[in-house]
Parts: sequence; C-alpha cells; structure tokens
Amino acid sequence: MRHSPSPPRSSLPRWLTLAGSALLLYHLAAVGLGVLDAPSGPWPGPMGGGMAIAPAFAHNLAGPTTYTHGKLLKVAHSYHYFTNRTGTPSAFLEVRLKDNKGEALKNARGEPLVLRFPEKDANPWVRHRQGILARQLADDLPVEPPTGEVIAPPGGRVPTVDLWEPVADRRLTLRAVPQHLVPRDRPGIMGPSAWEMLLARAYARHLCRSHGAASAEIVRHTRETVPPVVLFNDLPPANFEDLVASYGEVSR
Amino acid sequence: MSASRTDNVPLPSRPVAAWNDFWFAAVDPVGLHRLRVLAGLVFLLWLLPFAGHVDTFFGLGGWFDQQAFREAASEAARFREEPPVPMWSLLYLCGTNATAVQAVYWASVVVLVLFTLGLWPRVTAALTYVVVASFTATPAVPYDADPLLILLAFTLMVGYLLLGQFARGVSLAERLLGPRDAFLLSRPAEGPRASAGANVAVRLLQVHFAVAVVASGLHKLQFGDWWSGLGYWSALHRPFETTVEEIKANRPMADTYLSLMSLAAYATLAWQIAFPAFAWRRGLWRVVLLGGAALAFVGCAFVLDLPLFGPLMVIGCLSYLTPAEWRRLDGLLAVMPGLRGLARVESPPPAKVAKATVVSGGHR
Repeated sequence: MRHSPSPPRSSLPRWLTLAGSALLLYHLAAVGLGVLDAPSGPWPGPMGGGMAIAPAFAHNLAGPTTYTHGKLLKVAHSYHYFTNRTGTPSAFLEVRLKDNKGEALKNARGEPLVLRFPEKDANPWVRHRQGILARQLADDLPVEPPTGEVIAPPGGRVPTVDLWEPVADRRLTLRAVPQHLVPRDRPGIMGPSAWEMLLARAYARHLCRSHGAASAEIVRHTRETVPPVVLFNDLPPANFEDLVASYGEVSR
Repeated sequence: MSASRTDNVPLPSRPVAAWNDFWFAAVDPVGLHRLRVLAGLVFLLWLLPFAGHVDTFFGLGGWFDQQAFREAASEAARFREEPPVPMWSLLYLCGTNATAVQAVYWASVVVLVLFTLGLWPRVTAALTYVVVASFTATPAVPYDADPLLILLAFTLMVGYLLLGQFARGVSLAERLLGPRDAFLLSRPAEGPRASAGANVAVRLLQVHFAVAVVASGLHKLQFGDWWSGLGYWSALHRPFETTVEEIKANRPMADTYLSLMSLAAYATLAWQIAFPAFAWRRGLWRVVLLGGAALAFVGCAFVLDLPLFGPLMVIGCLSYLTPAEWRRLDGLLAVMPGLRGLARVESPPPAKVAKATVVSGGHR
C-alpha cells in the first residue's frame, strides 16, 4: 500500500534554486575533477614502475576549477593519501650544529649537541608532524646516467646532479657529480629529489637560526619495513638496519 | 513500501524535483549545529597541541622559511609549473615576526572556541575556515587529514552563512552575526526553525565526504599490497619499532595472522568503495556506516598512528544522520550523567518543525 506522498519541501524562489543548482554543479564538477586530475601509479612497465598521467579530459577541464577550488578555496583534492602507500621507509633525522669557528655546539653536559627529529619528549601530535618533516626527506629518486654525451655550453660548466655515494656499509653521503660522470656501470643509483634538497636546506637554516649556529649537518636515518616473508623464511638482518645518509654541512 | 516525496510529481520532472528536494528542502538545522560542535572540538584538538611550536611550524622563520618559498617558486618557474606551496595563508601576513604569529595563533584559538560554542556563528564560521585553511598551509608538514579539516570547515561556513538568511522577521544583528539559537546552551522558546541553508551545507559535506572516501579507496587499489591484503602490514610493523624477532614470534600462527589482516584490508576496501551505496540508507545500514566509523576511529587512533583521521571519519559519517536521528541521539545524551546539559531534550520533535516553519516564517 502506498502512503499519500508529501510534497517536496523546497519553498525557495525558483531563481534561487536555479542559481544554487548552477553553483552546486560547478562545485561538484570541481570536486570530481580534483579527484580525476591526478597522476596514478606507479604501474608496472617494461622499464620498471612508472606513473601514469591524469586523463586529458580531466586535466583540460580542471583549469579554472583548479584555481577556484584547488588554490583559492582549497577544497579540491585528489584524496590520493600518502598513507595509502605501503612499504615506504620510515625516517628520523639527526642534526649536528657548528659555530663560526667550525666547532661543534655542545649540550649542557659538554657533549656535542645532536638534535633528533621526531623529538622523543615532544607531545604526540608535534612528534607526528616532526615525523612528517623527516619522512619528506626520504623521497629519493633514481638517477639515470645520460644516454648520450653531455657537452658544456661555451664558457659554462656541465650541469651537475646530486647522488648518494656509498662511503661505508649502509652509509651514504651526498655528492654533486657532473652529469657525464654519473656511473654507468652501477645500477640503482639514487639521489635526493629537488624538493627534498630544498627542504633539507630550509631545515638546516631554521635549526641554525634557532640555535645560533653557523652550519648544520643533517643526517637522515631510514629503515625499510620488515617484509611479511619473514613470517616464513629468514632474511639477512642487514636488510633491516638503518641506512644513514648525510646531506653534508649547510651554512646559514 | 513507503513513497518518496516526489512520487506525486510527473515522471519527466521527477529528477529535478528529487534534486531540489535533496539539496534545497528546508530541514531542522540540528545536524548542522551538532556537526559544528564536534568539528570545533576536533579543530581545537588539532591546533592546541602546537602551542609551544607555533613559529617553528607555521611562521616564515620556521622549518619552511621565506627563502624556501622563494626557491620553490623559482624551481617551479624553471619547469613552468605551479609552485607546490599553498597560495594563501593568514600567516603569510606575519612574515618572520614570531610575535605576530603567536598573536594570530591565540586569536585563532579564541575563534575556534567561539565557533564551537556557537557564538556569532556567521562570523566565527567564516573565520574558522580561514584559520583552518591558513594553519594547514605549511608545505613542510603536509598531512593527509588536512584536506578533510578544510572540507569540514568550508561546508560548515557555507551552512552558517546561509542559515536563516531567507527567513522573515530576522534582526539585522542576526542576519550579520548568525542566529542566536545556534549557541550551544541556548533553549530556543519557539523550537528549531527549518532551514534550506543548513540542508545545503550538510548535503555538501555528505557528497564531498563520500567522494573522499571512495577516491581514497580506489587509490589504495593502485598498490599491490592492498590487493595482497597486506595494506596494514607496514602500519602494524613500523620499521623503527618492530624487530625481526618480534615478527618471527608470530610464525606459529602466521597463516591465521595474515588471513585476519587481509580480511581487515579487504573489509576496509569494500567499506570505502561501496560507501555511497549505504551511507544514505537508514535502518540496519546505519550499523555498517557508524560501525565502520567507530572501527576507523579506534584503528586510526590506536593502531595506525594516524591522528585526526578517526574523529574526522566519525564526523563525516555522522553527517548522514537525519534530524530525527540526531534528536534520538539527543535523547540518549540526556540520560548520560553529566551530559544532560548539552542535550536539547525540550526541543520539539521533528514532526513539529514544519509547523514551526510556517508559524515563524522559517529559516530557509
């Protein structure tokens, strides 16, 4: 048996519902395009994992909505959360500071001052954000050697690339290498991304300012997640130790 | 079988009628008010712990300083891209002045308290959105929950900017500052007045939240570990906190352990991807909606180390409650010791809302 229906309860003026509907449709389109206009991946491919670009229709349509909803209102987002990713390494940072004379800053006990982030005694919310600071430096990228010869412009130098150079077992240091000298016989060469380097310099400047130091050396400790296969087989323990990478000294 | 409110509308016009009914029906604004209180508490929970670290995290002399902004802009310009830094923030106006940053921070805390209480909500809701968008604009510490904070603040701002604007007999002060009955402890004499503005805001939150939940669920499918049911492995065995020996201790029950973990991962995926199919349904589906939110709350807070996500998931899921369901929750609140003062048990039941609308002119 059907109940007697009640009339729709909207009693707004027609012009207002039309205008409101137009705004809503624009808003929903902006939100939807924010989700679609994002790269996806990494997907498996013949050359390893690669990112797929956003669909062209979404990218082209998203122009104005990216500005209004992404930049101005900040409500358009891909919702491709970093925390959805699995197997990303964890990281913490150690920072050593030096004064104008090049001597290490000391703590109250007269020992060299070593700052650690996340700080153990910070409250959990601050520690969580400091964890994000550290994790942002664990964003290395593969460094591809050039396929052809790189020739410097007249009067110029060959561009350099930053790469991690092993200096001891599970210890790396940052080295700027001319592009043509990137080793071709060593697979899996990694280097920090440009964003990572920008952040490392910014962190160093901030810590120098806040501690009155002249220079700071940021040392990154990363560790991979123990894989589930350990439930069934033994793996060499070295796989689960810290990888220590130094960004070198950055002056204020 | 119950009839829809649009059943008496000619068939060709039904989609339009359903659209208007979904978005523009005047409803009891109880849901908007309750969501405001919960959201305000979450905003405070998010901002207050930074009290001793304000300049460090948010100032232009902190972790991400002015020079970093300049470098990001020039790097982006080199590749003809947009700089990966937020376009605006109230804190940019403070420059490197740490005192100004502190002043803005504490003023923002006051705004959030006023907003939570429901004082001058039209103004404080707009300011709350500005506060949330500003304090999430620090490129050094982007967190996945930040977009949900902004989304919540934005939709509540829309709701309070619209609430009661089309009603008759509203004073100029109320039109500018917002309705007085939004105050947390107010006891409106004439009962709640139905509002289309409140409905628009809550619907916006519902739709946007559903998009976020589904998009995040689909994104998980881009990673093999989620397909293998190992999506929670990394979170449960954080590298600096877990040793190989601890994991080896689970060897005797490895199959059971992995089966339960993969079941949890697939349940999460199913809940997220099917979210729109049950979020708007009532009856037992509420158990799926709110049960999932409760599990998300517990999991994010105590297992996955994802602060803020749990409360935000709960608020997002509660936004699907109807005004009648909110009133029933009020009734439950009234019998809990110490919380009776917060429950508006003397408010008229939803059935009287329409009448109140006619009598008072209604908040549309």
